[in-house]
Amino acid sequence: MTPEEFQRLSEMFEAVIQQPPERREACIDALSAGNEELHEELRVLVESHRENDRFLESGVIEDADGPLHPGDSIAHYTIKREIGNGGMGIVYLAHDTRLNRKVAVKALHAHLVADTRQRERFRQEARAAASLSHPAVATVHALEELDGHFYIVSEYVRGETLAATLEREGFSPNDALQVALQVAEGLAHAHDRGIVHRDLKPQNVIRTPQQQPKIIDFGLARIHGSDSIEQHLTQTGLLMGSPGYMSPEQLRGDTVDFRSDIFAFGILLYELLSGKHPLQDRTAAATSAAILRNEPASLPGIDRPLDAILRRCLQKEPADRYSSTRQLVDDLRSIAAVQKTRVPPPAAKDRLDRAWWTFHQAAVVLLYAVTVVVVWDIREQSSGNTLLLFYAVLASAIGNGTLRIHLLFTSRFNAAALGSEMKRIRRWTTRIDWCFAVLLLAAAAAILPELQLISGVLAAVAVVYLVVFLVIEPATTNAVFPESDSTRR
Amino acid sequence: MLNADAMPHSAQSATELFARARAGNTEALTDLFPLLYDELRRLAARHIGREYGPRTLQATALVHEAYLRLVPEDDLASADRAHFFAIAAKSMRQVLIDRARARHAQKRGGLMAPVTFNDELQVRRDGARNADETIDLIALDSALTKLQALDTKQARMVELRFFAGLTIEETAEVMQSSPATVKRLWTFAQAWLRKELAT
Repeated sequence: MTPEEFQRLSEMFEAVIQQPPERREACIDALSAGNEELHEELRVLVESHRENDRFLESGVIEDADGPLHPGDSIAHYTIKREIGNGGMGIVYLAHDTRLNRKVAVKALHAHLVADTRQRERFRQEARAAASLSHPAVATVHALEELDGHFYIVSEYVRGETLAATLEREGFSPNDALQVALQVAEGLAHAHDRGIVHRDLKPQNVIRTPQQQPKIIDFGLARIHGSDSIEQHLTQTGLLMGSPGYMSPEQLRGDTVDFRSDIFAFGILLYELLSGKHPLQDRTAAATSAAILRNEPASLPGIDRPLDAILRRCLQKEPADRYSSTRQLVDDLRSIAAVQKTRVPPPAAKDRLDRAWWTFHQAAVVLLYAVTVVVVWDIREQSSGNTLLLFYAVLASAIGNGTLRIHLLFTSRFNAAALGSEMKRIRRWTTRIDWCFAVLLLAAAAAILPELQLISGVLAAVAVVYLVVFLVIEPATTNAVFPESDSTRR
Repeated sequence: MLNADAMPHSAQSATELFARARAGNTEALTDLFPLLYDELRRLAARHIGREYGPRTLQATALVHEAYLRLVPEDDLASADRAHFFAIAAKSMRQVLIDRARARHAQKRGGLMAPVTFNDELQVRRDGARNADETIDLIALDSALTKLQALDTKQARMVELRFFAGLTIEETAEVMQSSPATVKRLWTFAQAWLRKELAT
């Protein structure tokens, strides 16, 4: 076809589609005038035409989704939707139609299981991973093979990866230790059975809404064929992410055992505690170099036993690290036990703040006591409604005094609970404070005609009290319980 | 917005190239293609490579992002703007085709999906996927090359509409034509491409 013929074709096309559908056939016949080829061309073109066609209109989108779509089935698993995408494949949420439960299906990239040797090795790894059963390890249910593709079916873990939490807000020191301890227990369970994760990192630990961390993708890294960094980079490309969690021996391409996991765990623990990677550099290569050569900086303000655990995990030589993951778990556990029972060691300033707060609370209690005595003394002088007023003042003074004494006792005997007790009780103390001050003013007004002096004293006490709980109390409380609580970025 | 890796481009940003072109340096505009090609390719790789980011790559968004990066002040004369989008559409086409070919070349692509356009995604979101709606970008590219030989103007229009995501009005502006004419040509091109891709 020449450009001229094409031009004519487009003009005929326009003429035809301006006709109502039932007249188009005849129009094509007339325009093609016996030219069979042209007739056919025009007919197909008109057939391809749609009213208000949106074809190609919304702009091109390149879609990197896998071949699975909602409604597709792998064995007896029905795909619901895609939930993630890692270096090794795409993860889908699926429904197990036999057992009627939610599962995660990971479709492995085909190039990872291209040859028979890789396939066999992968089957072995999946079998080993499936033998694990621990609350801190996501359970592998099945391995399905379909048209040469591998699908790992595992427990569907709801929640957020540690990487996401780190990105968002980080962990409080207590939280970090709890998570680390549970992850270490999961690791120890696997190591006891000779199974090594090889790719432990914050992205591979999901914490459920019930605060249970679960390690995912156990042993799958093995299918990279080799543990060396070259393999990681060439086979999985950029999707693999930074190799910032590989141990020195992994980076060197030496043999890898459970002690590589311990190294990765050390990095993870460091990150949980401080919110930052110990050896992160601008590029993956620089980070790898740092892992091979540099000592991580000490974490400021960290307890010595915890620092010792970190150092031992992050040794460059596997032989210098923990020789058993159980030992690591024991060490973490003893620190966690100490931290649970112990009041966080107050710094000098904290202690001063605490003293200020204690003094303030004690002074307020004393003020109540004096008020109670005075009010009790003068109640004889009044009658009727005024008497009721006095009783109300007494009640609020005694009530609030009791609450404050409770706080003082809590701070002395159960300091760890003080913060939550404060939060619980403060609503009430504030309300009763207001009542007390207002009632006291009202009482002062009621006895003004008869007892000017005492009325003046009561009014003064009420005003002083307003100043105390509106101005001074927030200052002392903030000194001890800063508004931004213990969670750290 | 400007980060370190964008700096090399700033040395010869689009604004500057157009200024040079207006000053009579005809080569300046030909420099825009490789500049845009690189920029779009980089943006595409970044969007797709993000592990937890969206996993689709929208050509229109990329072209506009490239525009904002290369012409930070939005100070192009409207003729230059038109030129920019014409060249951007061509570059985007090249970037996407190269990516599609690279995927195609990947040993029996495995889980790598065919390149699709977003009508299909729309359908898929509704849960009823229709395989017929999937389009092969490589096939579209060869159809466009064929169209180019028959009618350059139409091929250019398809590039602008599809690869740069311009509206009928914007396309008309770039092509210095009327929206009515573009609409007419577009209707024909849609039918013709449907036919070409069906066979």
